[in-house]
Amino acid sequence: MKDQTRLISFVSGKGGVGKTSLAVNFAWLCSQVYKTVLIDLDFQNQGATGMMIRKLPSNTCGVFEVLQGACDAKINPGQIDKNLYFVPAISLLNPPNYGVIADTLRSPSLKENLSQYLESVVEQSDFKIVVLDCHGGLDYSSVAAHKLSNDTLVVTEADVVSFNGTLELLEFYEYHDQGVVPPPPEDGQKEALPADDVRGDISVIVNRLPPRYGYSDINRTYTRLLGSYKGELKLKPEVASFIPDESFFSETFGDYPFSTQLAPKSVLARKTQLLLIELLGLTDEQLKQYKPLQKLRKPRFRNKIKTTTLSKESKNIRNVLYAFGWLITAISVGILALILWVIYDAIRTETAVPKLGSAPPPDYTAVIGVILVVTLALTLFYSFRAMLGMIFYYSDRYKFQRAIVHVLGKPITVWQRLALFKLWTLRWGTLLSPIVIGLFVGLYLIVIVVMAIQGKLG
Amino acid sequence: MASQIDPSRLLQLAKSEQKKQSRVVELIGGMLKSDVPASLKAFAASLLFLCLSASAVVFALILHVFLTLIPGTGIHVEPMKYAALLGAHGVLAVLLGFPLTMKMSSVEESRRLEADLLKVQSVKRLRRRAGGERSDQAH
Repeated sequence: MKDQTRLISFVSGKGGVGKTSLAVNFAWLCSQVYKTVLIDLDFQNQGATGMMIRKLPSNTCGVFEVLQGACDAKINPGQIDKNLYFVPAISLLNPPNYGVIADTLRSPSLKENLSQYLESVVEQSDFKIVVLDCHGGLDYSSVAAHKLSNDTLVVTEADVVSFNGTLELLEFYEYHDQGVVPPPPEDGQKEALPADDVRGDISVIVNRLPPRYGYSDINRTYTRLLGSYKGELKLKPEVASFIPDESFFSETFGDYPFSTQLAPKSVLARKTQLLLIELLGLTDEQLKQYKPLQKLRKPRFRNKIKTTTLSKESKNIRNVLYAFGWLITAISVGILALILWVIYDAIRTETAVPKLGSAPPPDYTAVIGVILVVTLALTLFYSFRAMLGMIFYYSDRYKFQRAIVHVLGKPITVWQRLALFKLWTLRWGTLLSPIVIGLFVGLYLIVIVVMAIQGKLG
Repeated sequence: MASQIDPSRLLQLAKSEQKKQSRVVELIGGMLKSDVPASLKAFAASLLFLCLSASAVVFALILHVFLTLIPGTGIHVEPMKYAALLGAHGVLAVLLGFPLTMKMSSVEESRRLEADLLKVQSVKRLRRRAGGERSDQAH
């Protein structure tokens, strides 16, 4: 393999953790800077192949056929975007023979054959980045991919089941790092592995992080756990990225593969962009090639993205809760002051309290006034933040949904039109209703002030 | 009306209030040990603490009103003082309670997750220490 070419594998200890979505979007981002090829190595589920099925010619040759020798390795991968190419797991027209797939995966020459194929693909098309999307779980193609890759990204979730799968996967890799490959079913021979394996760094990505975890706490937890690893693998003790759970993308999963292209400012897109920069060590010049990457030149913004564990929806909900909390406090303080004043008035009139020549009690009305002003100001501040967040959120969602309809190029259905209209209403509603309400309140206050002044003058 | 107030009755009231407060403390302690979700626990705990201290202020106010009713003491009810006290209390509770609740929830959830993941990790280590040959052979 050429020295300039970077091989990056996406693996996981169990399926369904969002590995394929991440791999596909990561590959698309890579293609904005380098010529990239995405290869689906998940022969069992073929997730990436399914995602790209609409973009590929039906006679495209798969990796499986190449490994079997049924297809020429020199056949160019299919182009799916400007600088992005794709190789499906299995040819679209080839009905899979599951027995043969199992045999191919257990073949002792799997890694060698894959290495040769990757070399030939890189040589002939001059790819700078190769992204391998592996099967979720313990799988020989995943072992081979890890051995050949400069970076292995283990995608997991913050739960016991995914963590168990991750540990199993690492143990599986360790076992196969000890120099044995699975014997072929027929002869039972064991072969020593060649020593030229890359066996690059292994980084962990925690995907779909629930909003209950703050960055510092969850990072400390994972650093302690990964730091205690004493195996032979080059496992990084720090988690590469914590990606929050966003309904934004899960609702449109499968509609269009490159969601980060359509929503480049979303948390997922920003996290993937940062991962790309950190993994490839992109220079400022390279960052200029794709506009959304430019903002990540600032270390402060990078740190903000790194420490974000909340999706935009969760942030909006939090701001609404804060605004509500402050409003309740302001109302309670006002009502309390009023009740106490009424009680005091009643007592004062019923029992003539002797003054005994003492100084009059200090008046705390000013303090109440300050508290009311502060609480109302904070209510307005958080309402403004929540409102602004919602305006941007619905605006992004509307643009995202419209872009999906646009890129798919299919005639738009009535339901799609209705869904778009709903988002359009929410987008303009969140923007216009606070303005309209603000205008009414302002006008009402002006009228009251004018009437009061007129009353005084009269 | 004012002369009918018995000072021992006031003492009794104060004692029963103290009893109530200690019961709340017990309740909070018990709840923190229980197995309800951490965020709910943290929120409920801060709410209970808020009620506890608010009840202390209200109790002081009631006491003050009673004392005001006894002629010749020269004590005046200062309603705005209590409103200001409770108001400031509310502001502090929201100002500290919200971020504190979130932080507590995050810390406790992370600890709980870590404990669970550590269990998984230690099981794997035990399995490794116990030995046994790993194999790729198909059955």
